[in-house]
Amino acid sequence: MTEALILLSMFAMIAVGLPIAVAILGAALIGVWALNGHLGFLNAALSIFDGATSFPLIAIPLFILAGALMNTGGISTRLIAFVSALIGFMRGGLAMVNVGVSLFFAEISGSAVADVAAIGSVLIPAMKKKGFSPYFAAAVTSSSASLAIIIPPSIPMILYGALSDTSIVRLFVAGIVPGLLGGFSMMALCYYFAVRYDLPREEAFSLRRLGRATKDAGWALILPVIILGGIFGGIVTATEGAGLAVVAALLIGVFVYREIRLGDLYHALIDGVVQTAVVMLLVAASAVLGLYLTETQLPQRLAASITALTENRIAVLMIINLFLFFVGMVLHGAAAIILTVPIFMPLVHQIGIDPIQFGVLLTLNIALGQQTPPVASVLMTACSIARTDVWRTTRTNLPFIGVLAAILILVTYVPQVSLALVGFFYD
Amino acid sequence: MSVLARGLDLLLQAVTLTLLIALAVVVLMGVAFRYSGNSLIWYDEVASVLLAWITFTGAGLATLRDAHLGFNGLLFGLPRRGRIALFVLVEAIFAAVFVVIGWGGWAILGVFAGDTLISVPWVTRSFVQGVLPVSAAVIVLARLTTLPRRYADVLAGYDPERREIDDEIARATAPREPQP
Repeated sequence: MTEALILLSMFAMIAVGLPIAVAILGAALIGVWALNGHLGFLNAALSIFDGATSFPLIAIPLFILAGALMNTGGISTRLIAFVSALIGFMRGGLAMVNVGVSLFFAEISGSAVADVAAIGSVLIPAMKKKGFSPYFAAAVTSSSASLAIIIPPSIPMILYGALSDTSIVRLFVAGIVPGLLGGFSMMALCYYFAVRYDLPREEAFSLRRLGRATKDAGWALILPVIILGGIFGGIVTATEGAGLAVVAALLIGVFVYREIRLGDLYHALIDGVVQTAVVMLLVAASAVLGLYLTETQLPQRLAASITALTENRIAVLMIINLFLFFVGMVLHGAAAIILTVPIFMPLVHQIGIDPIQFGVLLTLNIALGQQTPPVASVLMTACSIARTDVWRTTRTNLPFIGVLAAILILVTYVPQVSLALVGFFYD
Repeated sequence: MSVLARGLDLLLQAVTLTLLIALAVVVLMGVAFRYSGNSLIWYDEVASVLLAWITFTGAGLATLRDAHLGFNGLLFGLPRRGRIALFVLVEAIFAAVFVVIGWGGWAILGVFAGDTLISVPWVTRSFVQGVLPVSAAVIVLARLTTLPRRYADVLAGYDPERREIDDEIARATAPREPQP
C-alpha cells in the first residue's frame, strides 16, 4: 500500500509540473525515509552519485559532442546533398530525402527537438515550396525522426543498455534491420502518396551530380562506417567508438571541410552538455528510486502478479506494449525508459524474453510515444515549422504511425527481426 | 536574464565545458594507451567521476535554462489562480528535494574520512563527492534566479515547452554569418 502511494505521489508530482527527475527523486526520498528514516537520505546521496558514474553512459556526452561537431562542421549539409542526388529524382523524392536524412541525423544531438528543428527548418519549407501539403511535410519529418532512434548510435538504447546491463553494441546491431525496414517502408509510403497525389520530383537524376555529391560527402560517408565498424567489429567499445567519432568529426570539420565555426560549435557544445545533464540527472534520480524499489521488491512482486494472470508470452508482451505505449504518450523518451526498465526487467527475465529484443521493442514504443499527443515534442516541433495544427497533422501522420506500429509488432512477435543480425555477428 | 543568473550561467558554462573536454581527452587517451600496450589503470574510474561531475554541474546549468524534462499540460491548462497555486507547490517541492539531497551529500562527506579513489590514491572521495552538495546548492540558487521569469510565464500562460520549440526553430532558421 505504501509503495503504491509513493509511486502515485511521483506521478502526481510529474502531473503538476515538477521536472520528472525531481519528481522521481522526491518520491524516492519519501520512500527511503519511510523505510530507514533520515539515514535513508544518506543512502540516497550515495546512490544518486553512484548512479551518475555508470561507465557505459559516457558514450552519451561523447556522441552528443560528435553530433555537434558534425552539424557545425559541414558534414550534415553534404549528407543532405548526397541523399538528395541519390533518391531525389523519384516522384515525391524530397519526402524520401527527408526520411533518408532523418535516419542519419535525428537524435544525434541528444535533443530530439533541436534535431527536428535543424532538419525540418531546411526540408519542410523546401517541401512546401515544391507543392507538398504542409501537413504531409510535418508528418514525414516527425515520424522519420522518431524512427531514427532505433538506428545506431541511439541514445535511448545506450540508456536502456546501461540500466538493464545489456550489451549496447548488440542493441545497436539489433536496431539495424527494424530501422531499415521502417525507413524503406516510410519511403515506399512517400512514393505511394506521391503517385496518388501527383507530387513532384526534386530534380532529374544526374550521374555527374551524384558523383560530385558522393565525392564531396566521401569523408562524411566513411565516418559512420569507421565508427560503427569499429564498434561492431569489437575493436572498440561503444564508449570508445563515441570518442573516435569526436576525433573523426573534428578532423574532418577542421582539416577537410574547414567549416567549423567556433561560435556555433561553442553553443552546440553547451547545448550538448545541458542535454547530457538532463538525461543523466534522470538516470541518477532513478538510482535512488531503484534503491527504494530493491528494498521493497516491488518489481518482483509486479512480475509475479502479471505472471499469475498469464504466463503466455504473447499476452504478456501485449500487456507490456500497451503499458509502454501509454507511458510514451505522457512522458518524454528518456524518462519513460528510466521509469519502466527497473520495473519491467524482472518480468522480462521471468518469461524468457531476450533483453536485446526487449530493448528494441522499448525504443520503438518511445518512437511511437513521440508521435502521439499530449507529450509529442518531435511532432509539435515539426508542426510549428510547417505552421500546421497538431491534430490535423496527426491525421495525416496516421499511415506513418502505422509503419512504426507495424515494425513494433514485427519486433515483438518475430524475435528474428531484431535478433538474427546479432546472432549472425556474435553467436 | 538577471546579472546573477547571467554570471552563474557563464560560470557553469566554463566548468561543464572544461569537464566535457577533459572527459573526451581521457577516453581517447584510454583507447590510445590500450592499443599501445600500456593501459591506463585510472582511465575508467576518472572518466566515471568526470561524468558524474558533468551530470551535477550540468544539472545546475539545465535548471538555469529551464531545460529539465517535465509535463506542463495540467499546470497551463488551469485558470490563473490554479496556475499560481500549483506553481508555489512545485517550487516548494523542488527546493525541498535539493535541500535534502544537499544535506545528505554534505553529511556523507564526513563518513568517507580518508577514503580515496582506488586508482588515484591522492584524490579523496570526499573531494570527488563534494560536487553533490555544492551542485544541490547551485541548483536551488539557479531555480531561485529564474523564478521571476517563470512566474511571469505562469501568469501569462506561456508554456516553457512552447518556448523551447520557438527558440530552437528561431535558432535553426537564423541567417548564418558568412565564413571569413
